[in-house]
Amino acid sequence: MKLDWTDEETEFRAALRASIQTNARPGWTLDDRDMPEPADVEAVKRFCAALGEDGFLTPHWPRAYGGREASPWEQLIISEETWRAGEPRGGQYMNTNWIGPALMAHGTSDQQAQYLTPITKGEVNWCQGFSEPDAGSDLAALRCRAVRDGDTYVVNGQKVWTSYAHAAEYCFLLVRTDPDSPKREGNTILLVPMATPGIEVREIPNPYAHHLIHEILFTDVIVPVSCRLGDENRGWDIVRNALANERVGIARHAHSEHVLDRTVSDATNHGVDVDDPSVADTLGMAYAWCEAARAMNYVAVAERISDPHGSRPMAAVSRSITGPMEREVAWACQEVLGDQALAGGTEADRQVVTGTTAMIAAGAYEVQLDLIGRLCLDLPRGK
Amino acid sequence: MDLQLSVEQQLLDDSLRAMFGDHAGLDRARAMAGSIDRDLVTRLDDNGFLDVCAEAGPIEAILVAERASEAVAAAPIVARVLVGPLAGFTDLPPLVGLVGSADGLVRYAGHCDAYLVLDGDEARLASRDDVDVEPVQSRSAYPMGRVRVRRSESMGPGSGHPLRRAWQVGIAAETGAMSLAAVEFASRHVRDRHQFGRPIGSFQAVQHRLARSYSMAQATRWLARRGAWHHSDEYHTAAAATFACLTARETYDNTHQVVGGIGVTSEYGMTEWTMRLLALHAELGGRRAHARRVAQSRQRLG
Repeated sequence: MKLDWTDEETEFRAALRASIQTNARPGWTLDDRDMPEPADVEAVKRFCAALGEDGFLTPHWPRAYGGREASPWEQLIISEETWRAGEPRGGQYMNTNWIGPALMAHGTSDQQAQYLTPITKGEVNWCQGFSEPDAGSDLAALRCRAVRDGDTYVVNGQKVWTSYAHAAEYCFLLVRTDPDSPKREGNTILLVPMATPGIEVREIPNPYAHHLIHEILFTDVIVPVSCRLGDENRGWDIVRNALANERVGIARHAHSEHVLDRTVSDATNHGVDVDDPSVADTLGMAYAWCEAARAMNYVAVAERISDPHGSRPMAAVSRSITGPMEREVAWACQEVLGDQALAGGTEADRQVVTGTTAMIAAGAYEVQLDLIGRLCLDLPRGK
Repeated sequence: MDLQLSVEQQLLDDSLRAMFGDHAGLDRARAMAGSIDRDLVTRLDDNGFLDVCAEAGPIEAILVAERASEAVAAAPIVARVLVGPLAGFTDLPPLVGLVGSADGLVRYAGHCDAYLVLDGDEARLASRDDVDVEPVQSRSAYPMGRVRVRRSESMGPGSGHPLRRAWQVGIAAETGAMSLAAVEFASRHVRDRHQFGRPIGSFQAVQHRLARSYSMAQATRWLARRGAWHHSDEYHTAAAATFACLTARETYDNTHQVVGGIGVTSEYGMTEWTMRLLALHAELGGRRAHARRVAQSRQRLG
C-alpha cells in the first residue's frame, strides 16, 4: 500500500492541469457544464477536442481505440482536475467513461467505426435516455416501447430528467422491446440520432439552473436495427455495467473542496471572521466530508482495478458518502456566507444545485444504501 | 497510488487477525472489565508487533491498531503501536497512556508505565512514578482517571504538533475499526431477529441505518490510513479525527436503535464497542476541536 501519487502520476496531473488552464474557457463554472447557451456547446467541443489533442481525453482507452491504456488512477486524476475546473467537458465525461467503453464491449465494428472516433476527438455530445416518469430508481420498470418492424424499430414513449439532451447528437436509449418478459429482461439499447424525426426535447423548468434537466418525447420514431447495441432484450446487462462505471471515479470531492475554498475567500471579503470558532467548525466539518468522499472514491477505483468484473460494493459505498458530502458542503456555504450565499453567480449559490441533485441523480442515495445492505452486510431482501 | 496490501502486509494482517482472535475478542474484553490485559500486551511485545511502525511503517502500525480495536483489546495498544511512534517517541515501554489536558480523562490511567503528555505546543514524557492518578468512575468501558503530571521530560518546542496529529490518527483508526465491528455485530442481530414474520434486517428502515454507518466507518478507516501515511499534515489527520467523531455518533445511534433493548445489556456485548466509541468521540477536544484544526490547516495550505 502506497498512499502517494507516483512521480509519473504527479507529472500527468501537472500537464493535465496546464492543458485545462490553456484550453478551458476563462471563468468556466459548473453552471456552464449544463451548456445552457449554444456558445457553451461549442466551448465544450473545442475544449474536448483540445484535450484530445493533448492526450487527456481518452488515455485510459485501449490502444486499439486510440487510447494508451492509462491506469484508472490517471482516469481519476482527469476527473479530479476537470471537476475542480467546473467540468469543462460538459456531458462528454459520459462519452469517455462509459458510453465509449460500452460501445467497445458490445458494439459492431460498424458502430465502433461510426461512434468512437468522434468521441476521441471531442466532436459529439451524447445523452442517456434511462429514467422515465414511472421508472426512476426502478429503472427496470421502464415503458418506453420499441416495436420491431422489419429492419427498423418504432419507438414511442418518454424519458425524463435527461441532462444535456438539448445539446446531444445521440441518445444512449434504453427501451422496452418485450413487454411480456420479466422486468429486467426484455429491454434493449438503441443508439438514436437526436435529429431523427419524431423526437422532441423539452426543457423542464426548475429554479436551479437553465437546461439542467429535460424530457424527451418519442413519437413513432423510426430507428434502424443497425442502431441496436448488443442483443435484443439484453440491454439491462449493458446498462448495469455502464452504471457501475458511472458510479466510479466521478471526483465531486475536488469541486466541493474548491467551492469551500472560494466560500472562505468570499466570506472574508464580506467581513465574515472565518477564524471564529463556530465558522471554523462548520468549514472544518465540510472539508472533512470532502476528504471522506475522496478516500472512498479512491477505494472504489482500487476495487475497480482489483475486481473489475465483481459486484464492486465499494462503488456504492463511495456514492453513499459523496452525495451527503455535496449537501454538507452546500449547507456549510449557506451557514458561513449567510444571505450573501443567495446571490446568484457565487460558488455557494451553485453548490445548492449539486447539493440537491447529487443524492438523486445516477442512482438515488437510498438505492446505494440498499446495495450496501445486500452486498456488504448480507442483509435479507425486503418483501 | 496503490491501495492494496502488499504480500508482507497481508501476511501481517493475517497473523494479527489470528492472534487477536485467539487472545482478545468480546468474551475476553468482558472478562477484563475495568482492567488491562497485560498478557495480551506481553504477547504482542514478544512477537515484535509493538514496534512495527519503526520497523515496517505506518500502514503496518495501522493494521495492528485496526485488529486490536475490532477485537476490543483491553489495553492501550494504539497509543503504543501507532501514536507514540508517529509522534517521534522511541524506546517506549509496552503500556503508555495519552494525556491531553491537565484535568482531562485518560484511558487506562493508573495502568500505564508511561504517559505521553500534550502540553500546548510541547509533547512531554512522564513515567508512572512522576504522575498522580485519580481514578474516575466511567461507563465508557475503559478504566478512566485524571493524571496529574508532577515531573516530565519535554520533547522540545513544537513537539506537541506531531503528537496531536498522531493522536488524531489513532482516534480515527480505533473508531473506524470499532464501528465496522459494531455494525457487523448489529447486522448479525437483524439477520436473525424476526418480528412481524420476517427478519428485521429486511426492513429498509433498519438496513439504511446500518448501511449508512458502514459507509461512514469505511470512510473513517481509510481516512485513518491516509492520515497515518500523511501524518505530518494536519489537514489529513484532523479531517480523519473529525469524520471519526461523526462516525462514532452515527454508529452508536444506529447500532443501538436497530438492536433494541438487548443491545444495552452487558450480557449481549455490543456496548463493549459502543461505549468505547463514546470515549473516542470525546477525546482530544472532540469533533469541534478537530474540525477547527481542519479549517485552520486548510487556510495555512491556501
